Amino acid sequence: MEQKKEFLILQILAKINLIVFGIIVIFEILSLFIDFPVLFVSEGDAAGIAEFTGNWFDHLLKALIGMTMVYIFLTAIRSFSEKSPELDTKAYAFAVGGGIVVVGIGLLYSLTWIAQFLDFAFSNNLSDWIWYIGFRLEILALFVNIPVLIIWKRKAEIFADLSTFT
Amino acid sequence: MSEDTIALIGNPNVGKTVVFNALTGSKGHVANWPGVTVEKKTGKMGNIQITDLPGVYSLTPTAIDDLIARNYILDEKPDLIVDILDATNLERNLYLGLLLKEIGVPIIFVLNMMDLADEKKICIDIEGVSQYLKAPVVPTSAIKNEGIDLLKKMIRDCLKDGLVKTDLIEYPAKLELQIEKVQSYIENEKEITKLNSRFYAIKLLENDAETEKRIMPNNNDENYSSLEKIRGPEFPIEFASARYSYISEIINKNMKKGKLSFDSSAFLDRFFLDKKIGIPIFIIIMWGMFEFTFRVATPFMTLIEVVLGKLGDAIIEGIGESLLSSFIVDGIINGFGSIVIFLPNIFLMFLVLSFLEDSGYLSRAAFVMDRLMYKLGLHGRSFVSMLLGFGCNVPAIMSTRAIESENDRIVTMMANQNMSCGARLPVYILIGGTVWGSAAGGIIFSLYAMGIIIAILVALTFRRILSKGERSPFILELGDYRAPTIKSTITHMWEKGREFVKKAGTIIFTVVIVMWILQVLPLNQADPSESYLYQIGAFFQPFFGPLHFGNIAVIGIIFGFLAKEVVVAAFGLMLGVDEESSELGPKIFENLGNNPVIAYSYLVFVLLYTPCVAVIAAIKRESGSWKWPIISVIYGLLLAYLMAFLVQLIGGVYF
Repeated sequence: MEQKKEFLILQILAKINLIVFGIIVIFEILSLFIDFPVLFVSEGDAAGIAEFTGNWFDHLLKALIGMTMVYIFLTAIRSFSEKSPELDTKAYAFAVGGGIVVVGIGLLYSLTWIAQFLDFAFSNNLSDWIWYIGFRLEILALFVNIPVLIIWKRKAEIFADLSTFT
Repeated sequence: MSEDTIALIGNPNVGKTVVFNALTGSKGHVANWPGVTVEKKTGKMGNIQITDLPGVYSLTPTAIDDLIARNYILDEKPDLIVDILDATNLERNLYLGLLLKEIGVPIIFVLNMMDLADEKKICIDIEGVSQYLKAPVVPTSAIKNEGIDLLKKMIRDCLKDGLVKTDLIEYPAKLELQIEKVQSYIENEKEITKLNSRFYAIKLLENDAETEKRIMPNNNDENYSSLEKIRGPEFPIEFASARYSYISEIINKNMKKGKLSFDSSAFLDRFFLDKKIGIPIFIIIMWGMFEFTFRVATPFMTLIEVVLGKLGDAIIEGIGESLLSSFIVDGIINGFGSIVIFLPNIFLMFLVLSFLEDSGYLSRAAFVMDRLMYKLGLHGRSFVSMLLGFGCNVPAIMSTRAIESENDRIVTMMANQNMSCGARLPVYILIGGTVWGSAAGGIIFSLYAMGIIIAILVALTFRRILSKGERSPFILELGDYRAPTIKSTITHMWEKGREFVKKAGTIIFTVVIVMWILQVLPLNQADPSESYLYQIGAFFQPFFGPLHFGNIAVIGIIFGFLAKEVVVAAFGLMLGVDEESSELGPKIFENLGNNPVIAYSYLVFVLLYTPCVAVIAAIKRESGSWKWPIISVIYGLLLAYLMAFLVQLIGGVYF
């Protein structure tokens, strides 16, 4: 099959997504140790224990989600190199599907940023917003994956060339 | 002059409700997954009464919704049937069409989803299909309101002029001979007319038990003996094969598929329905939904909180401290207002659910979970009902009508109450936000996940007890993925959210007022602990003593039996949501022993304990006895107590 430009873009994006979510997983796993409740909170500090437990659980969930995304893009990249028509379809389905999920996750964090901005504004505390929000790689991934949506929306028919979908 | 009646019928997920809404101007719930219509709905198009029937695949009743549809057509005898066909799945949809033709009633066929058929490069010769079906065929894209005017005109013309033919479709001579014979055996039965005798004759030849009960209840007469002599196990297969041959002829002669018809839904399903990642993807999407619900709603909640606080201040300033100001500030603003604060969360959750429904993803979620359910020996349809339970458990209980086996229905009803409905969300957010702050999204997600796991385990337990037999088959229509429009998503969000607002304005408001009265009585209390409300909590406190729940937490549980949102109102009423709301968190935490494990176990208790009265009433109505609602209340209480205890045990509260 002739390598179309769009397919090449999807392959590159799958690799970028793999790196991005790999970094996120490492960061979240490290945070699991940083936020480990019993290490930093004294026994009587109920609010402290609750906060650290909550954060710890949050990092655990995000690490697991990140690992799933790594698995998705790893599967896509491995299937690209197999070159069989069946795996080719699976690879592109994973690259497109994974890209759609990344856009969803990125959108969630972007909306959270905006919501926090509004919340700080309503509380007359806007100057603290920038220090509170932190930076999320997922928002960057949202912008990186916009081409996936464009290819899917405008050029979906090119996927008909793959294996059984003709 | 008596009004004309028409019935809308079709396979599940072909857009019947969209057509119904377009014809009648109604706003019935529409979703891109099957089973939305679980009971018949009626509306008006001018002086014509239109009934929207549940989606069915055949006229052989296997589940309650099949029976509703068939009995309506046979008993109510509508003047006209409108059979909605999915133009992208014509072959399968025509089977029901041919069955309807056997009844001999006037019928119009609607080829819906023509826009999707065009996208898939499917060309259909409308006139050709019409000639084969011996009935008018109208092409529509109901979701875009295309072809609806033509359909309205066709309906009016047909009713006015009686133009619709009732010509029958003939089957091979061998079958026609047997049909004639059976028609002669039943011609004197009281339900038989010239038009419907063919339908009943075919059904009797197909060994349809429902028809036999209806037409030949005395199965010891001469006619029954003659019938018994000619019918055999081969007839159901022969009739089905005759119908499919006819359908193949229609398709071969009148439908062409373009060479490059790319099935984008099947392509995406390679990802979303993948055996390994299908369930993790579903979990990620659910996590995203609760993070979104919790985080994005925050500014709106702050805004409502600020407005309510200022309103309370203004009222006290205006009319001073009195019983009236206490009623307005403590009862309405603090009590009722504490629930209103969570409206943004409820609406945002419904926004995401509507988006997922409209996109076609929710039916995929049911599909991926069906694999797990099947391995556990459960009915796949159960999970469809459970997913509906995220909104409200009442429609979820009603949706069990689509399950064929009575035992599977009961199992699903019993399991459903464990799914976190929208009413429990405010409780999770109030306590979650208070105790875990910005990390509450993950805690809320864990409660929803626990609800699903426990619902599955409960279903498994009840299935082991109730049904040892074979599982009834599970057919789930996977519609195409569609990009939801902003208008339709917001409309669906509003439809769902409106129910919550209605409930808040009626039941919840009344309960909160009753609670306020119990709080201020007896008058002239020296201490709040003298109030009747506090005394009710104190009365039940010993029961919850081992779980370390405070008095207000117990009051919330007691009144939450009426509606789960009231748990929040109990905290608002007794602790206040005013200008000192910053102190509300520590007070709530204090009522839960200042311990995050106890707080979490309280949320687990709220998740699992008895369903609210509306759900109990729905279980009574759907199961037809008081036995199951009573079992549901008892097992819910025991399970909630046990799980809350286990959480505290594992969390180290008892050490």
